Amino acid sequence: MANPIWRSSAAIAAACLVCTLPASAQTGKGKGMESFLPQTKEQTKTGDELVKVRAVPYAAGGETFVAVVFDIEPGWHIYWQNPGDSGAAPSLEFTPTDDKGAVRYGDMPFQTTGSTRWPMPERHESAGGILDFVYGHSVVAFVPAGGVTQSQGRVTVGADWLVCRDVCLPGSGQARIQATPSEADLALIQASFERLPTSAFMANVDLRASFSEGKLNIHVPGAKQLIFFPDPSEDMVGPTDAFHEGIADADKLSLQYSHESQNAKVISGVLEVHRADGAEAFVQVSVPGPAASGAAEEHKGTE
Amino acid sequence: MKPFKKAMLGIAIGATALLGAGIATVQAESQMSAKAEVGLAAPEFKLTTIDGKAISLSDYKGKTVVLMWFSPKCPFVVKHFADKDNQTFNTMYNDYKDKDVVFLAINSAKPTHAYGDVATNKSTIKEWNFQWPVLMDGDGTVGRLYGARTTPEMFVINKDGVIAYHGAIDNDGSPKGPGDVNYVRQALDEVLAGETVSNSETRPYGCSVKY
Repeated sequence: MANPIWRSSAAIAAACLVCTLPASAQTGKGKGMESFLPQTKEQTKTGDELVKVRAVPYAAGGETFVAVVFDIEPGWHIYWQNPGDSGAAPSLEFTPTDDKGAVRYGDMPFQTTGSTRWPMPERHESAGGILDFVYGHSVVAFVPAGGVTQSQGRVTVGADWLVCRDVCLPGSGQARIQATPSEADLALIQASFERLPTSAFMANVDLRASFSEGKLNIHVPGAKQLIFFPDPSEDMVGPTDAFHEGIADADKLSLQYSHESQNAKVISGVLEVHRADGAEAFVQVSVPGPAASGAAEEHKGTE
Repeated sequence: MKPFKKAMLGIAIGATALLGAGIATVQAESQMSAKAEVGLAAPEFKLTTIDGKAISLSDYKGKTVVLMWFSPKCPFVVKHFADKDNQTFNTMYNDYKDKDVVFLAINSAKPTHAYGDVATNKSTIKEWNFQWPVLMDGDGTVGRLYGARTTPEMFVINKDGVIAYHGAIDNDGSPKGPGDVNYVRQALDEVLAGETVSNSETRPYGCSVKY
Protein backbone atom coordinates (compact mmCIF):
# COMPACT_ATOMS: atom_id res chain seq x y z
CA MET A 1 0.00 0.00 0.00
CA ALA A 2 1.57 3.28 -1.00
CA ASN A 3 0.98 5.73 1.80
CA PRO A 4 2.74 9.09 1.92
CA ILE A 5 2.52 9.26 5.69
CA TRP A 6 4.50 6.09 6.13
CA ARG A 7 8.09 7.21 6.05
CA SER A 8 10.75 5.40 4.17
CA SER A 9 13.49 3.85 6.27
CA ALA A 10 16.01 4.67 3.59
CA ALA A 11 15.06 8.33 3.57
CA ILE A 12 15.33 8.60 7.34
CA ALA A 13 18.65 6.82 7.33
CA ALA A 14 19.96 9.17 4.68
CA ALA A 15 18.81 12.20 6.61
CA CYS A 16 20.40 10.96 9.81
CA LEU A 17 23.75 12.45 8.97
CA VAL A 18 25.52 11.69 12.18
CA CYS A 19 24.16 8.25 12.95
CA THR A 20 27.00 6.07 14.03
CA LEU A 21 25.31 2.85 15.04
CA PRO A 22 25.08 -0.18 12.83
CA ALA A 23 21.60 -0.93 11.60
CA SER A 24 21.24 -3.84 14.00
CA ALA A 25 21.62 -1.59 17.00
CA GLN A 26 19.34 1.09 15.61
CA THR A 27 16.51 -1.27 14.94
CA GLY A 28 16.87 -3.01 18.24
CA LYS A 29 17.85 -6.32 16.69
CA GLY A 30 20.99 -8.08 17.69
CA LYS A 31 22.74 -7.80 20.98
CA GLY A 32 23.10 -4.06 21.34
CA MET A 33 26.00 -1.71 21.31
CA GLU A 34 28.15 -3.11 24.05
CA SER A 35 28.97 -6.16 21.98
CA PHE A 36 31.07 -4.13 19.58
CA LEU A 37 32.27 -1.30 21.75
CA PRO A 38 35.60 -1.37 23.50
CA GLN A 39 35.02 -2.41 27.07
CA THR A 40 37.67 -0.47 28.90
CA LYS A 41 38.87 2.16 26.47
CA GLU A 42 40.75 4.87 28.25
CA GLN A 43 38.34 7.69 28.87
CA THR A 44 39.77 11.18 28.78
CA LYS A 45 36.79 13.39 27.96
CA THR A 46 34.34 14.55 30.60
CA GLY A 47 30.58 14.16 30.46
CA ASP A 48 30.35 17.87 29.61
CA GLU A 49 32.66 17.36 26.63
CA LEU A 50 31.02 14.23 25.24
CA VAL A 51 27.72 15.99 24.58
CA LYS A 52 27.23 19.50 23.24
CA VAL A 53 23.90 21.31 23.18
CA ARG A 54 22.68 23.98 20.78
CA ALA A 55 19.25 25.61 20.61
CA VAL A 56 17.59 27.08 17.53
CA PRO A 57 14.07 28.10 16.54
CA TYR A 58 12.17 25.59 14.44
CA ALA A 59 8.70 25.69 12.98
CA ALA A 60 6.81 22.73 11.58
CA GLY A 61 3.24 21.57 11.36
CA GLY A 62 1.92 24.98 12.42
CA GLU A 63 3.86 24.91 15.69
CA THR A 64 6.95 26.74 16.84
CA PHE A 65 9.64 25.02 18.88
CA VAL A 66 12.98 25.48 20.43
CA ALA A 67 14.94 22.67 18.83
CA VAL A 68 17.56 21.55 21.33
CA VAL A 69 20.34 19.70 19.55
CA PHE A 70 22.27 17.11 21.56
CA ASP A 71 25.50 16.53 19.67
CA ILE A 72 26.77 13.22 21.03
CA GLU A 73 30.28 11.84 20.69
CA PRO A 74 30.18 8.77 18.39
CA GLY A 75 29.97 5.52 20.31
CA TRP A 76 28.23 7.10 23.30
CA HIS A 77 24.56 7.37 24.10
CA ILE A 78 22.15 9.41 26.19
CA TYR A 79 18.75 8.27 27.41
CA TRP A 80 15.11 8.65 26.44
CA GLN A 81 12.56 9.99 28.93
CA ASN A 82 12.08 6.43 30.13
CA PRO A 83 15.71 5.31 30.41
CA GLY A 84 14.75 1.66 30.83
CA ASP A 85 16.49 -0.62 33.33
CA SER A 86 19.39 1.76 33.95
CA GLY A 87 20.58 5.26 33.14
CA ALA A 88 18.82 8.59 33.54
CA ALA A 89 16.80 10.85 31.30
CA PRO A 90 18.19 14.24 30.30
CA SER A 91 16.52 17.34 31.66
CA LEU A 92 16.06 20.81 30.20
CA GLU A 93 15.56 24.17 31.82
CA PHE A 94 15.09 27.56 30.22
CA THR A 95 16.39 30.74 31.79
CA PRO A 96 15.81 34.26 30.56
CA THR A 97 19.00 36.26 30.39
CA ASP A 98 20.22 39.56 29.12
CA ASP A 99 23.60 39.95 27.52
CA LYS A 100 25.28 39.89 30.90
CA GLY A 101 23.46 36.78 31.99
CA ALA A 102 21.09 38.58 34.35
CA VAL A 103 17.49 37.43 34.64
CA ARG A 104 15.11 39.78 32.90
CA TYR A 105 11.63 38.36 33.11
CA GLY A 106 9.68 41.54 32.53
CA ASP A 107 10.16 41.94 28.82
CA MET A 108 10.76 38.37 27.77
CA PRO A 109 8.17 37.10 25.29
CA PHE A 110 9.47 33.55 25.43
CA GLN A 111 7.18 30.96 26.94
CA THR A 112 7.10 27.21 26.69
CA THR A 113 3.67 25.98 25.70
CA GLY A 114 3.80 22.24 26.10
CA SER A 115 5.76 19.18 27.05
CA THR A 116 9.07 18.50 25.38
CA ARG A 117 8.76 16.05 22.51
CA TRP A 118 11.48 13.46 22.04
CA PRO A 119 12.06 11.39 18.90
CA MET A 120 11.81 7.63 18.97
CA PRO A 121 14.62 6.06 20.99
CA GLU A 122 16.48 2.84 20.26
CA ARG A 123 16.69 -0.36 22.25
CA HIS A 124 20.05 -0.88 23.92
CA GLU A 125 20.48 -4.44 25.12
CA SER A 126 23.22 -5.47 27.54
CA ALA A 127 24.30 -8.76 29.07
CA GLY A 128 22.13 -9.85 31.95
CA GLY A 129 18.91 -9.04 30.14
CA ILE A 130 19.32 -5.32 30.72
CA LEU A 131 17.31 -3.13 28.37
CA ASP A 132 17.70 0.61 28.08
CA PHE A 133 16.06 3.13 25.75
CA VAL A 134 18.67 5.44 24.31
CA TYR A 135 19.83 7.78 21.61
CA GLY A 136 23.02 6.34 20.18
CA HIS A 137 23.57 9.29 17.86
CA SER A 138 22.98 13.01 17.89
CA VAL A 139 19.36 13.86 18.49
CA VAL A 140 17.02 16.83 18.84
CA ALA A 141 14.41 17.53 21.51
CA PHE A 142 11.53 19.80 20.52
CA VAL A 143 10.17 22.21 23.10
CA PRO A 144 6.89 23.82 22.04
CA ALA A 145 7.24 27.52 22.75
CA GLY A 146 5.99 30.95 21.85
CA GLY A 147 8.14 34.01 21.27
CA VAL A 148 11.05 31.90 20.17
CA THR A 149 12.24 34.07 17.33
CA GLN A 150 12.15 37.21 19.52
CA SER A 151 14.21 35.45 22.17
CA GLN A 152 17.36 34.73 20.24
CA GLY A 153 20.32 35.27 22.48
CA ARG A 154 18.10 36.23 25.39
CA VAL A 155 17.02 32.83 26.52
CA THR A 156 19.43 30.16 27.68
CA VAL A 157 18.65 26.48 27.75
CA GLY A 158 20.43 24.47 30.40
CA ALA A 159 20.63 20.72 29.98
CA ASP A 160 21.76 17.86 32.20
CA TRP A 161 22.42 14.38 30.93
CA LEU A 162 24.00 11.05 31.62
CA VAL A 163 26.19 9.86 28.77
CA CYS A 164 27.31 6.25 28.65
CA ARG A 165 29.38 3.85 26.60
CA ASP A 166 31.14 1.15 28.61
CA VAL A 167 31.13 3.63 31.48
CA CYS A 168 28.71 6.42 32.40
CA LEU A 169 29.44 10.08 33.02
CA PRO A 170 27.08 12.86 34.09
CA GLY A 171 27.27 16.08 32.12
CA SER A 172 25.63 19.43 31.66
CA GLY A 173 25.76 22.36 29.29
CA GLN A 174 24.11 25.60 28.34
CA ALA A 175 23.26 27.27 25.06
CA ARG A 176 21.52 30.45 24.12
CA ILE A 177 18.88 30.27 21.44
CA GLN A 178 20.62 30.97 18.15
CA ALA A 179 19.17 32.85 15.21
CA THR A 180 19.22 30.06 12.66
CA PRO A 181 20.45 26.49 12.50
CA SER A 182 23.42 25.47 10.39
CA GLU A 183 22.69 23.31 7.36
CA ALA A 184 23.95 20.24 9.17
CA ASP A 185 21.82 21.01 12.21
CA LEU A 186 18.78 21.64 10.03
CA ALA A 187 19.14 18.21 8.43
CA LEU A 188 19.47 16.64 11.88
CA ILE A 189 16.50 18.61 13.19
CA GLN A 190 14.33 17.53 10.28
CA ALA A 191 15.40 13.91 10.64
CA SER A 192 14.61 14.00 14.36
CA PHE A 193 11.27 15.69 13.72
CA GLU A 194 10.38 12.88 11.35
CA ARG A 195 10.94 10.45 14.21
CA LEU A 196 8.53 12.13 16.62
CA PRO A 197 5.70 9.77 17.48
CA THR A 198 2.27 10.94 16.45
CA SER A 199 -1.24 9.66 16.87
CA ALA A 200 -2.18 6.57 14.90
CA PHE A 201 -4.66 8.74 13.02
CA MET A 202 -2.00 11.23 11.97
CA ALA A 203 0.38 8.43 11.04
CA ASN A 204 -2.44 6.68 9.20
CA VAL A 205 -1.66 3.47 11.02
CA ASP A 206 -4.32 0.88 11.72
CA LEU A 207 -3.43 0.51 15.39
CA ARG A 208 -5.50 -1.86 17.48
CA ALA A 209 -4.49 -1.78 21.11
CA SER A 210 -6.10 -3.00 24.29
CA PHE A 211 -5.18 -3.83 27.85
CA SER A 212 -6.71 -6.88 29.40
CA GLU A 213 -5.78 -9.45 32.04
CA GLY A 214 -2.57 -7.58 32.81
CA LYS A 215 -1.37 -7.52 29.22
CA LEU A 216 -0.97 -4.78 26.66
CA ASN A 217 -1.96 -6.23 23.31
CA ILE A 218 -1.04 -4.43 20.10
CA HIS A 219 -1.99 -5.37 16.57
CA VAL A 220 -1.03 -3.48 13.43
CA PRO A 221 -2.25 -5.48 10.43
CA GLY A 222 0.41 -5.72 7.74
CA ALA A 223 3.34 -4.85 10.01
CA LYS A 224 6.56 -6.83 9.67
CA GLN A 225 8.07 -5.74 12.95
CA LEU A 226 6.78 -3.90 16.04
CA ILE A 227 8.92 -2.35 18.77
CA PHE A 228 7.27 -0.90 21.88
CA PHE A 229 8.77 1.63 24.27
CA PRO A 230 6.78 2.13 27.50
CA ASP A 231 6.32 5.66 28.79
CA PRO A 232 8.04 6.60 32.03
CA SER A 233 6.10 5.78 35.15
CA GLU A 234 6.51 6.95 38.72
CA ASP A 235 4.34 4.25 40.20
CA MET A 236 6.03 1.05 39.03
CA VAL A 237 3.61 0.52 36.17
CA GLY A 238 5.42 -1.04 33.27
CA PRO A 239 6.16 -4.22 31.32
CA THR A 240 7.80 -6.99 33.32
CA ASP A 241 9.88 -8.22 30.39
CA ALA A 242 10.24 -5.58 27.71
CA PHE A 243 13.60 -7.15 26.85
CA HIS A 244 11.88 -10.14 25.30
CA GLU A 245 8.32 -8.99 24.80
CA GLY A 246 8.92 -5.42 23.60
CA ILE A 247 9.96 -6.41 20.10
CA ALA A 248 8.36 -8.84 17.66
CA ASP A 249 8.91 -9.74 14.04
CA ALA A 250 5.18 -9.91 13.58
CA ASP A 251 2.14 -7.69 13.35
CA LYS A 252 1.17 -8.43 16.94
CA LEU A 253 2.86 -7.66 20.23
CA SER A 254 1.81 -8.61 23.73
CA LEU A 255 3.50 -7.37 26.90
CA GLN A 256 2.82 -8.59 30.41
CA TYR A 257 2.57 -5.63 32.82
CA SER A 258 3.49 -5.39 36.49
CA HIS A 259 0.79 -6.04 39.05
CA GLU A 260 0.87 -2.33 39.88
CA SER A 261 -0.81 -1.76 36.51
CA GLN A 262 -4.05 -2.77 38.22
CA ASN A 263 -4.05 0.78 39.58
CA ALA A 264 -3.21 2.45 36.28
CA LYS A 265 -5.72 4.68 34.59
CA VAL A 266 -3.68 4.78 31.41
CA ILE A 267 -1.20 2.39 29.82
CA SER A 268 0.95 4.22 27.31
CA GLY A 269 4.10 4.28 25.26
CA VAL A 270 5.29 4.69 21.70
CA LEU A 271 5.42 2.12 18.95
CA GLU A 272 7.83 1.73 16.07
CA VAL A 273 6.18 0.02 13.15
CA HIS A 274 8.08 -1.52 10.25
CA ARG A 275 6.36 -2.82 7.19
CA ALA A 276 7.46 -5.34 4.61
CA ASP A 277 8.02 -2.60 2.02
CA GLY A 278 10.54 -0.85 4.27
CA ALA A 279 8.23 1.94 5.38
CA GLU A 280 8.12 2.78 9.05
CA ALA A 281 5.91 4.81 11.36
CA PHE A 282 6.14 6.07 14.91
CA VAL A 283 2.91 5.95 16.84
CA GLN A 284 1.68 6.96 20.28
CA VAL A 285 -0.11 4.19 22.12
CA SER A 286 -2.48 5.03 24.95
CA VAL A 287 -5.20 2.76 26.22
CA PRO A 288 -7.29 2.89 29.39
CA GLY A 289 -5.80 0.93 32.26
CA PRO A 290 -7.75 -1.24 34.68
CA ALA A 291 -8.34 1.73 36.99
CA ALA A 292 -9.92 3.89 34.31
CA SER A 293 -13.62 4.21 34.88
CA GLY A 294 -15.48 1.95 32.51
CA ALA A 295 -12.24 0.65 31.04
CA ALA A 296 -13.38 -2.93 30.81
CA GLU A 297 -16.61 -2.11 29.08
CA GLU A 298 -15.04 0.43 26.77
CA HIS A 299 -12.41 -1.92 25.42
CA LYS A 300 -14.32 -5.13 25.34
CA GLY A 301 -14.02 -6.52 21.86
CA THR A 302 -11.62 -3.94 20.53
CA GLU A 303 -9.43 -6.63 19.07
CA MET B 1 5.91 -10.02 40.65
CA LYS B 2 8.70 -7.51 40.26
CA PRO B 3 7.98 -4.58 37.98
CA PHE B 4 10.59 -4.11 35.28
CA LYS B 5 12.27 -7.17 36.67
CA LYS B 6 12.17 -10.69 35.52
CA ALA B 7 14.53 -13.54 35.38
CA MET B 8 16.20 -13.42 32.01
CA LEU B 9 18.11 -16.64 32.23
CA GLY B 10 15.54 -19.32 32.16
CA ILE B 11 18.15 -21.93 31.47
CA ALA B 12 18.31 -24.52 34.17
CA ILE B 13 17.01 -24.60 37.64
CA GLY B 14 19.53 -26.31 39.83
CA ALA B 15 18.88 -28.32 42.88
CA THR B 16 17.08 -26.08 45.30
CA ALA B 17 16.64 -26.95 48.89
CA LEU B 18 15.55 -25.00 51.88
CA LEU B 19 17.89 -24.58 54.76
CA GLY B 20 16.92 -23.88 58.33
CA ALA B 21 16.04 -20.20 58.27
CA GLY B 22 14.35 -20.30 54.90
CA ILE B 23 17.44 -19.60 52.86
CA ALA B 24 17.41 -21.37 49.52
CA THR B 25 20.50 -23.20 48.42
CA VAL B 26 21.40 -23.22 44.78
CA GLN B 27 24.25 -24.39 42.66
CA ALA B 28 26.45 -21.35 42.53
CA GLU B 29 28.08 -22.00 39.19
CA SER B 30 25.00 -22.92 37.18
CA GLN B 31 22.92 -20.27 35.52
CA MET B 32 19.63 -20.11 37.30
CA SER B 33 16.27 -18.54 36.96
CA ALA B 34 16.39 -15.65 39.39
CA LYS B 35 14.05 -16.18 42.26
CA ALA B 36 15.11 -13.20 44.28
CA GLU B 37 11.70 -11.73 44.87
CA VAL B 38 10.16 -9.95 47.80
CA GLY B 39 8.46 -12.45 50.05
CA LEU B 40 10.61 -15.37 48.93
CA ALA B 41 13.64 -16.91 50.60
CA ALA B 42 16.84 -15.15 49.58
CA PRO B 43 18.93 -17.41 47.35
CA GLU B 44 22.07 -18.67 49.02
CA PHE B 45 25.41 -17.65 47.57
CA LYS B 46 29.07 -17.94 48.35
CA LEU B 47 31.56 -15.31 47.24
CA THR B 48 34.98 -14.04 48.17
CA THR B 49 35.62 -10.52 49.37
CA ILE B 50 38.13 -8.36 47.58
CA ASP B 51 40.45 -9.12 50.49
CA GLY B 52 40.12 -12.87 49.97
CA LYS B 53 37.67 -13.84 52.68
CA ALA B 54 35.01 -16.40 51.76
CA ILE B 55 31.50 -15.34 52.72
CA SER B 56 28.21 -17.17 52.39
CA LEU B 57 24.82 -15.65 52.93
CA SER B 58 24.03 -18.52 55.28
CA ASP B 59 26.88 -17.32 57.54
CA TYR B 60 24.45 -14.65 58.67
CA LYS B 61 21.51 -16.85 59.48
CA GLY B 62 19.32 -15.11 62.03
CA LYS B 63 20.59 -11.63 61.17
CA THR B 64 19.15 -8.92 58.97
CA VAL B 65 21.23 -8.59 55.80
CA VAL B 66 21.45 -5.66 53.39
CA LEU B 67 22.82 -6.38 49.91
CA MET B 68 24.01 -3.62 47.65
CA TRP B 69 25.17 -4.07 44.07
CA PHE B 70 28.33 -2.02 43.94
CA SER B 71 30.39 -0.24 41.33
CA PRO B 72 33.37 1.96 42.15
CA LYS B 73 32.97 4.53 39.38
CA CYS B 74 29.26 4.57 38.60
CA PRO B 75 27.93 8.14 39.09
CA PHE B 76 24.84 6.79 40.88
CA VAL B 77 27.12 5.20 43.48
CA VAL B 78 29.66 8.00 43.55
CA LYS B 79 26.97 10.54 44.43
CA HIS B 80 26.37 8.74 47.73
CA PHE B 81 29.99 9.30 48.75
CA ALA B 82 30.26 12.93 47.65
CA ASP B 83 29.30 14.42 51.00
CA LYS B 84 32.22 13.42 53.22
CA ASP B 85 30.20 14.13 56.35
CA ASN B 86 27.17 12.12 55.33
CA GLN B 87 28.06 9.31 52.99
CA THR B 88 24.84 7.37 52.50
CA PHE B 89 26.23 3.85 52.79
CA ASN B 90 28.82 4.50 55.48
CA THR B 91 26.33 6.44 57.60
CA MET B 92 23.81 3.65 57.27
CA TYR B 93 26.47 1.14 58.28
CA ASN B 94 27.34 3.12 61.38
CA ASP B 95 23.72 3.61 62.35
CA TYR B 96 22.71 -0.04 62.06
CA LYS B 97 25.84 -2.16 62.57
CA ASP B 98 25.08 -2.61 66.26
CA LYS B 99 21.51 -3.65 65.58
CA ASP B 100 22.32 -7.10 64.25
CA VAL B 101 22.36 -5.86 60.67
CA VAL B 102 24.98 -7.12 58.20
CA PHE B 103 25.95 -5.10 55.16
CA LEU B 104 27.37 -6.76 52.04
CA ALA B 105 28.32 -5.07 48.77
CA ILE B 106 28.52 -7.23 45.65
CA ASN B 107 30.35 -6.26 42.48
CA SER B 108 29.11 -8.33 39.52
CA ALA B 109 31.07 -6.48 36.83
CA LYS B 110 33.33 -8.65 34.73
CA PRO B 111 37.00 -8.28 35.70
CA THR B 112 37.94 -6.88 32.28
CA HIS B 113 35.61 -3.94 32.76
CA ALA B 114 36.80 -0.79 34.48
CA TYR B 115 34.08 -1.25 37.11
CA GLY B 116 35.23 -4.82 37.86
CA ASP B 117 38.94 -4.11 37.99
CA VAL B 118 40.32 -5.22 41.35
CA ALA B 119 42.87 -2.41 41.70
CA THR B 120 40.22 0.21 40.92
CA ASN B 121 37.86 -1.31 43.47
CA LYS B 122 40.55 -1.43 46.14
CA SER B 123 41.64 2.16 45.63
CA THR B 124 38.04 3.39 45.64
CA ILE B 125 37.16 1.46 48.79
CA LYS B 126 40.16 3.02 50.48
CA GLU B 127 39.41 6.50 49.15
CA TRP B 128 35.82 6.35 50.39
CA ASN B 129 36.67 4.46 53.56
CA PHE B 130 33.83 2.20 52.49
CA GLN B 131 32.82 0.14 55.49
CA TRP B 132 30.97 -2.66 53.76
CA PRO B 133 32.82 -5.81 52.68
CA VAL B 134 32.91 -5.89 48.88
CA LEU B 135 32.28 -9.34 47.42
CA MET B 136 33.60 -9.94 43.93
CA ASP B 137 31.23 -11.72 41.54
CA GLY B 138 33.24 -11.45 38.33
CA ASP B 139 31.32 -14.11 36.43
CA GLY B 140 28.05 -12.48 37.42
CA THR B 141 26.53 -15.67 38.83
CA VAL B 142 25.11 -14.09 41.95
CA GLY B 143 24.09 -10.91 40.14
CA ARG B 144 22.10 -12.95 37.65
CA LEU B 145 20.72 -15.12 40.43
CA TYR B 146 19.32 -12.02 42.09
CA GLY B 147 18.35 -10.39 38.78
CA ALA B 148 20.46 -7.35 39.65
CA ARG B 149 20.59 -4.82 36.85
CA THR B 150 21.83 -1.61 38.35
CA THR B 151 24.30 -0.16 40.80
CA PRO B 152 23.31 0.58 43.48
CA GLU B 153 20.48 -1.98 43.56
CA MET B 154 19.39 -2.95 47.06
CA PHE B 155 17.93 -5.94 48.87
CA VAL B 156 16.98 -6.20 52.52
CA ILE B 157 16.76 -9.76 53.87
CA ASN B 158 15.07 -10.24 57.21
CA LYS B 159 16.34 -12.47 59.99
CA ASP B 160 14.22 -15.34 58.67
CA GLY B 161 16.12 -15.22 55.36
CA VAL B 162 13.22 -13.75 53.40
CA ILE B 163 13.61 -10.80 51.06
CA ALA B 164 11.74 -7.91 52.67
CA TYR B 165 12.75 -5.11 50.31
CA HIS B 166 14.07 -4.80 46.77
CA GLY B 167 14.70 -1.66 44.82
CA ALA B 168 16.43 1.69 44.92
CA ILE B 169 18.41 3.10 47.80
CA ASP B 170 16.33 6.28 47.76
CA ASN B 171 13.91 8.44 45.84
CA ASP B 172 16.34 10.35 43.60
CA GLY B 173 17.11 8.45 40.42
CA SER B 174 19.37 11.15 39.02
CA PRO B 175 23.16 11.04 39.25
CA LYS B 176 23.14 14.44 41.02
CA GLY B 177 22.72 13.58 44.67
CA PRO B 178 20.95 11.45 47.27
CA GLY B 179 17.20 11.71 47.66
CA ASP B 180 15.35 12.80 50.76
CA VAL B 181 13.67 9.44 51.37
CA ASN B 182 15.95 6.45 51.97
CA TYR B 183 13.88 3.36 51.22
CA VAL B 184 16.42 0.96 52.71
CA ARG B 185 16.45 2.78 56.04
CA GLN B 186 12.66 2.72 56.04
CA ALA B 187 12.69 -1.00 55.35
CA LEU B 188 15.33 -1.67 58.00
CA ASP B 189 13.41 0.27 60.64
CA GLU B 190 10.28 -1.67 59.88
CA VAL B 191 12.04 -5.05 59.71
CA LEU B 192 13.83 -4.43 63.00
CA ALA B 193 10.55 -3.41 64.60
CA GLY B 194 8.99 -6.66 63.43
CA GLU B 195 6.67 -4.83 61.10
CA THR B 196 5.76 -5.50 57.49
CA VAL B 197 7.73 -3.32 55.11
CA SER B 198 5.26 -0.75 53.84
CA ASN B 199 7.14 0.03 50.62
CA SER B 200 8.69 -3.30 49.79
CA GLU B 201 9.44 -2.69 46.12
CA THR B 202 10.69 0.36 44.29
CA ARG B 203 12.26 0.77 40.91
CA PRO B 204 16.04 0.38 41.14
CA TYR B 205 18.08 3.08 39.45
CA GLY B 206 21.70 3.43 38.47
CA CYS B 207 24.31 2.22 36.02
CA SER B 208 23.78 -1.13 34.38
CA VAL B 209 25.64 -4.01 35.98
CA LYS B 210 28.54 -4.71 33.63
CA TYR B 211 28.12 -8.48 33.20
